[in-house]
This record gives sequence, C-alpha cells and structure tokens, in this order.
Amino acid sequence: MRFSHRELDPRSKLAFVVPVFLLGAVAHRIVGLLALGALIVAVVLAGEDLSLRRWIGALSPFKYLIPLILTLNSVFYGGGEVLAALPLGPLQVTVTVDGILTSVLIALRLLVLASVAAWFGLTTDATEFERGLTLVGVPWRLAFVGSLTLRLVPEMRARFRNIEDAQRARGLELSGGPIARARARLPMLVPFLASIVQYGYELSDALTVRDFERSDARTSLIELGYGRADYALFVATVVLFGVFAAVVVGTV
Amino acid sequence: MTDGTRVRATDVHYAYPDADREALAGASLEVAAGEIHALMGGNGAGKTTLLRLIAGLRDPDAGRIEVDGGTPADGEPVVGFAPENPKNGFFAETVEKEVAFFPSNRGLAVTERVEAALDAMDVDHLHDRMPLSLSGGEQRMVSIASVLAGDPAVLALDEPTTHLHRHAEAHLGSVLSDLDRTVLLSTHDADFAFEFADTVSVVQDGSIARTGPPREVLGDLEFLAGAGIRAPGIVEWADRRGLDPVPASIEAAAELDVEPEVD
Repeated sequence: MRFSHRELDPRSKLAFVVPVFLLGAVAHRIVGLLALGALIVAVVLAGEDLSLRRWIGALSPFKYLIPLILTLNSVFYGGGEVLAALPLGPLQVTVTVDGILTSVLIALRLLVLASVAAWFGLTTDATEFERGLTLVGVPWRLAFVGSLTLRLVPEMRARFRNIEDAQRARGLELSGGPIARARARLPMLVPFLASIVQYGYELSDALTVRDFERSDARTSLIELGYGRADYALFVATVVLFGVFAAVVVGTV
Repeated sequence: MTDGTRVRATDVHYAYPDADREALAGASLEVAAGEIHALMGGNGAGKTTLLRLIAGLRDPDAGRIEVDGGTPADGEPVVGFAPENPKNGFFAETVEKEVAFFPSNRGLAVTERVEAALDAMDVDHLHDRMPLSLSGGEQRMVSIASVLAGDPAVLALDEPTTHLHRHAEAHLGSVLSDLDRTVLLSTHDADFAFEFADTVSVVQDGSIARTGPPREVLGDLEFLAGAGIRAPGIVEWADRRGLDPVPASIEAAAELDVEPEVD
C-alpha cells in the first residue's frame, strides 16, 4: 500500500533526511552513494503524491553544475594513472583515474544531498515543518526563521522575474549564449537587491506588529501526529541505515 | 484612559536618521474608542510616521504616545498595523496560516479567531488561497484580517484604499464600519474619509493642523487647498451649486431636486 508523502509527519521526514545527509557527507565510496541514491528513489516511488518527473525537475539546476564539477575535478585532481595530458596554453593539464573517480564521488554526493533535500522541500508544508521543529525542541523563533527561508524562495524568484520582465519591456535583450544572457542580467542585480532589502524591512515590521517578539505562549493552528506510514518509515529508516551506515562508512 | 480616548499622542517628535527635518514636529492627536479616525495630508506630511509610532514600530524622539493608558512598548494593549503595501507583509502559504500568525503569537484560540477575522473582512472564501497570488483588493482585506485576528485594541491602517477601485473602497468602508472597533487610518482619499470616517485629522508639516467631523474639515475648501488635499467630489459638487449643507452621500444627493450637471 502506497503512502502520502504530504501526510507524513515532518519529524519522520527529518528522521530520514538527517541520516541521509550525514551518511552522504561522510561516504567515500561510489557504490555507497549509489545505494543511498537508490534508497531515496525507492522512498519517492513508494509514495503516491510526488511524481518522479516533478522530483527530477526540482534537480534541474544541477544539469549545469554536475558537468562543471566533473570537468574541473577531473582536470585539477591529480594522482593515479594518467589517462591523458592536454596542453592548455603554458600549462599541461593531466586527466587521471583518481581525478575522475574523485569528481564522480563529489558529483554523486552533491546529487544525493540535493535529491533528499528536494524530496523534503517538495512534500513538506513550511508551517508543518516549523511546528515539527518546535515539537522536537527547537526554539520557535529559530524554527520560524528556518521555515521562512523555505517560504521566501518562490517569492525571491517571482521578484527577480518581475524585474526581468520590466527591463525586457524596456528593451533588454536576453538572447545569445549563457554568458551573454548572464551579462545582460547583471543590471538586474541592483534593483533586485534593493527590492529584497525593502521587502526585508517591511516584512520585519509586519512580523513585529503581529507580536513575533512577544510570542512566549503560542497557540498553533496545526496539530501534528504520527500515522502508520510514519512508523513504517521510521522502522525502515532505522533498519536500512544500520546496513547502509556499515556499508557506506566502510566498517564491514 | 477613562475619558473614552483610546489613543492619545502628545507633542510627538520624530526624525528619521539622516533626515534634515523632523517627520513629526509636535503632533498631538486623540482617537476616541470605537471611532473611525482618518489621518489626511499631502505626501510626506507625517501620516504614516505617526501611524508607525502609534503601532510601536518606532519610538518617538520626544513626546508621549498612549494606547488605553499604556505606551505601545508596554506589550498590552495591542495596535494592529496593516502596511500600505500588504504584499510585503505576507509570508505564509495560505490565507488561513497568514491570518493565524498573530493570534498564535498572542496565545489566543487560533481557529476561532481566524474564522471570525476572515468572516468580518468578508474573505472567508479565500481561506486556502496563497496570499501573494491574490488581487490587490483581496490582499488588502486579508492584510487587515491578519491583524484583526489578533484582537487588537486599535486597528492602524496605512492607506487602506490604495489600488482599490470605487466599489472595493465602498465595500472596505462598510466592512470597517461594521467592525465596531477603533480604527485609525491614513488616506489620500477624501471621498472615502468623508463617507466613512467619524473624525478627520489633517497632518501638515509633521503636526496636526485640524481635527473635526468630516463634514466640517473636508467641507472647508479654502483650508483643504492650503493643506494640499483635494476636496471630496460631493463637496465640490455641492459648492458649485451653492448647496448648504453638503449632502451626506451620493445617494442623499441623488434624492435632491437639483438640475443635473452638464460639462
């Protein structure tokens, strides 16, 4: 029976995400990272309200970053058998087996961390996340700031697009290659930053007048509770990570 | 305060950092319990600054502000401030969660307060919508609901009619009238103030130049011209026809036996 990602308690999700982050960060074997990636895919597929396509779509910025990481690390990480030596102006660039393996390891690590973060972000309501953090003992103001960060990402994107649209309406050309487009966007940075600073001031006032600073005895709109899927995820997490920890960290 | 005064500002001075003149230069104001009190004045007169000080967002450099006898910094009672640009005060994913923030922080019964505030502002149908995706008029009503839900002693609304068309303005005015609360608002809209305010105070150069009933203050065309305020349409209309007193509303004017105006 498939479960609902959105109905999982955010605490259960954190209990899954945090070990993945820790194991992903310390793993030094490609096979271990592949196994972690497979586990994340299994969790995504096991739920019924997050399509694989949407989840992969959230990772789309990495289609630019991963090739860059693979290239740079292959070129600049030395050691091991030399596969190729390329002249680059006055420099001699060597591609080695260790360099390639290291670059793959780094790229995989980044993908594992990003993919579990994307699963969490796509399936977790910011208010529930905030409530979950407070229930596990995180001070409410800190939890609120954390959830606010999640909430403001789409707003920042929308503001940047508004500025872009306004400048395009006045003749800004965004055609050409990636470098030309990036250069054309440079003039947007100043109005974007000014807009963000102004937004920050006004949001700060809006929170203050609604007693953000006096909120010692809060009531909550949301009550969280564990369901069967939460317990199942928790048990699976404990069992699977016992095995993975042994394999990934390499103690077996 | 036992004399029915809910807000009292006495000789308030305030200057923004690096400003070459005071934004408020001895402003004194009294707002009676239960009234809708409109602050009017030209751009930069000090209306918004006075509202922000009354809301406790800034401390006066000199003078005193009291709300129900306490200063805004005392904690209770609360002034609910709705900014001119509601969009910049929103952060939650749904209207319900946005409106729940204030009562949650005050430890009130959240669900009841949210439902009451949405109902009072006539936006209960927007419950599950994303605040940032609403129209300007809807955002305005949700913004006011988000402060009303915290059960403040005073609602302080900065330019609440900005971006509202005439019909939405009239709706906002009737909703505010039905709230039976103390409302202090700043506005450039003389028609709105004339129709819905109980008292109008005109802010000029950082102090209160005149306070009184809307018919008295906004009916004085010579004074309004000096203060840089455009007179309400109905006052100008009545003046052109030599009508005295000015009809209370467009509806009342329509019942008068007056020749229609042909421009």
